[in-house]
Amino acid sequence: MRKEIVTRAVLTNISSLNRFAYSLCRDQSEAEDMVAETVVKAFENIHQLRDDNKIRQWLFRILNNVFISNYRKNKQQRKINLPVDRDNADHSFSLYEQIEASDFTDAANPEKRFIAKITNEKIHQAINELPEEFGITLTLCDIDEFSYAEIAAITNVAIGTVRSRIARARNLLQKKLWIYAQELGIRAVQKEKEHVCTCGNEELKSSDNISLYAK
Amino acid sequence: MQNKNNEVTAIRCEQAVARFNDFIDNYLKGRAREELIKHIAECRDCMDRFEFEQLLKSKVHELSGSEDTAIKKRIEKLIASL
Repeated sequence: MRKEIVTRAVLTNISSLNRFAYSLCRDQSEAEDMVAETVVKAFENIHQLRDDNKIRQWLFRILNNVFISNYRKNKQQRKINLPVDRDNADHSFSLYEQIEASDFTDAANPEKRFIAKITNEKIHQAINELPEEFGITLTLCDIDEFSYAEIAAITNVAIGTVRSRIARARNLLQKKLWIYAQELGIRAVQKEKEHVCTCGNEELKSSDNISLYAK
Repeated sequence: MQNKNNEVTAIRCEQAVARFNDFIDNYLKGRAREELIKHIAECRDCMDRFEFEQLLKSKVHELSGSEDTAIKKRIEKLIASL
């Protein structure tokens, strides 16, 4: 009975597991080996699965552990000559503002038209070009729809780290998509778009409010 | 933040934008969430930007639809052998 549950969960999530494996090791053949090893480990440790509702998270966590135990070393050896794009400057980059201030605004809804123009291949490529910790977190959050708490459990980091990685990953992804927009012939026409606030709150001092985030 | 009349406090555009990710991911709760909803309802520019961020997340999510049949066959074989 439990074997059937694991089998079903594995086959239902096979593409997600493969995608997560690839985001960890960045090598397709190795990713498939990691998924296979994960399946073997899942069946060997089936008695450790306490909550069937968390089986998906459990499988991803095993996969992450397989990577750390057996494959991380290979990746570090491959990585030596790869450029690292952590790009620490300008955390406030906004693709929306870039499109708004471009020559793409001659028709209605330029941002929606731009999103419609981006191919899934380009998005995939852009995510795979992100520094690993950001690519992994974005894949788990936006593609596989894990919550911050689940991502924290799978990748063994604090929820606050997940949250900041998602913010950074989306920011870097937008920068990459802006490069793609320029390849499509979209050009910036203004240096910076002036933010037009219609809410009337711009007169507030920055110290008036402190963001309150519920945990 | 809450004023004496228990009304939702106004926030600035930078504060609203800084909360977008948490809101999109359903991680923003309580007063902070109410403040953002109020701001977006009143600020057209932030509303447009927020919609763009949501749309981009949906676009990224489209990648979940891609199927890999080769690995599925390999894993099916593997499970049958276990």
